[in-house]
Amino acid sequence: MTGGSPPLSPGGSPPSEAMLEAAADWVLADEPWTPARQAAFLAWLAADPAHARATEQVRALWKDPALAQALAEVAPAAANDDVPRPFLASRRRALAAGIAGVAALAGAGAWLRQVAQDRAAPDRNDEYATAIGQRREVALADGGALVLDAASRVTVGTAGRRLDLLAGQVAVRVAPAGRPWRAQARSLAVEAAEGAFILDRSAGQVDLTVTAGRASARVDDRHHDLTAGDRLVVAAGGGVVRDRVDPGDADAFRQGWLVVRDQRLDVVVAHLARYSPRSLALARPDLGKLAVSGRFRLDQPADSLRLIAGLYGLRLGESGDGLRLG
Amino acid sequence: MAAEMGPTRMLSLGYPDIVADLLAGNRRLLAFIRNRIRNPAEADDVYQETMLRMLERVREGDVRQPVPYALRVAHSVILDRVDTPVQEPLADDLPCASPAPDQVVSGRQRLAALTSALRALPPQRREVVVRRRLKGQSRQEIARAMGISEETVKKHLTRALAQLAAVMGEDGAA
Repeated sequence: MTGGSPPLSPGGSPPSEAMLEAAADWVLADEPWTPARQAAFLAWLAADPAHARATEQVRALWKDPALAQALAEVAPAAANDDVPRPFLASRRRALAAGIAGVAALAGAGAWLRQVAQDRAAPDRNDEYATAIGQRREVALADGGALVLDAASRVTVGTAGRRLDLLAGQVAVRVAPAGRPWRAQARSLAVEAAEGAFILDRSAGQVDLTVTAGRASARVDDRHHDLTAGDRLVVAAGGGVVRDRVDPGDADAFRQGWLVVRDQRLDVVVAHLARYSPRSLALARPDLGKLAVSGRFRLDQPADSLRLIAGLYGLRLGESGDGLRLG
Repeated sequence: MAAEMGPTRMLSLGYPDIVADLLAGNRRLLAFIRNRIRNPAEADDVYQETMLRMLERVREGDVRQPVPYALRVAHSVILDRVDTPVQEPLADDLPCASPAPDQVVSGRQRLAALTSALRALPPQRREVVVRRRLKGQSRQEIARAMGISEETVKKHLTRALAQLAAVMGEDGAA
């Protein structure tokens, strides 16, 4: 507790490093923000007016893109390697080299080298997940990258070039290198040799948007060839629809914007729900097909929902511990 | 109808919106109290009493949304104080203006200051920050990759962020 500045008044000397460290502890929290934790944080803020300033300072710095830039400058080589598993990786490489060596002697072709590679890196997956309100970027060993939306989960093949979207949304940048990328979300399978695409699972449907280059998609036994700006939607009922979108709009979630044109309301709500600690629901399921257009801030899900309610003449109310639209 | 959501494993790239919400909630709470209690010492008393009551109820598991709850508690704490003069609120209970950033330091100067501050960090600490902030690795992944404990990872991160924030000063707000 401070003995210095009077309570509830702004101003005073800059926060000490110890106080900044305590603030950093809250900002960098890895523990879930349960009501108890939220209350404890509020109580900590109440204990000293300087605590809030220290938190704003630390939080602003952590979010600052200049920090990422500065980090990239001081650690240039670090940008592209995946999480290393030193011993296993080198043993795998030795195994692959050994098998490939034998294959080379035997004069076998590329297919055996592929087998060697697959054997050495057995079918293991890395899982990446994000919590509500938090996006994550993952740099891949092959030079590509993933951006996970909030409240999303993917498994990525350890050997690379393979992904399964279990929940939420992911943007994939495919580095051209050997085998094409294969991604899967429910019944939709995507293959891309280079370029970029976004996969999304919302409200029971699967959405594939190609944002750069080309990709081919397979649903049930039908193939679709797609280029930048194409979108393929596998509806909750199973029907497949093709559409055109602005790749920039689809990518906008990476900057915290939901940009839609004639998108289903239930899909829009699903996107916002990834950023809302409170549950979001529609009053009636048939409201789900209402077509919504606009730009909405993802990090302000309640405000965005309010805006949508206003734009489309819907009521927005509290329901249990969440919000209900319609 | 909530979105299909994965588990709440916290792999934060460091964009905690909940902290922003709580900071804003705290400002609303302060505004609510100050608008009704002129005397700063009395107002602080109400503020602290509110926090104590809220912590008690949270421990009992009764509270899901601490900020709205705190506002209700503050209201009843104020009503309970028979002897304290209570004003009519002056205006809508708008939150206090967020702290305004001071003059803008040039982008290049900031970047240079950040880079040199980073280079001044001990190498292990710097590597932890790179892994967390640039590569988005979790504490567990960093600990495993670097052969250190998760506790050490946490210490490195908080110390580094505090050191950098101290160097960048209060006009470093983005």
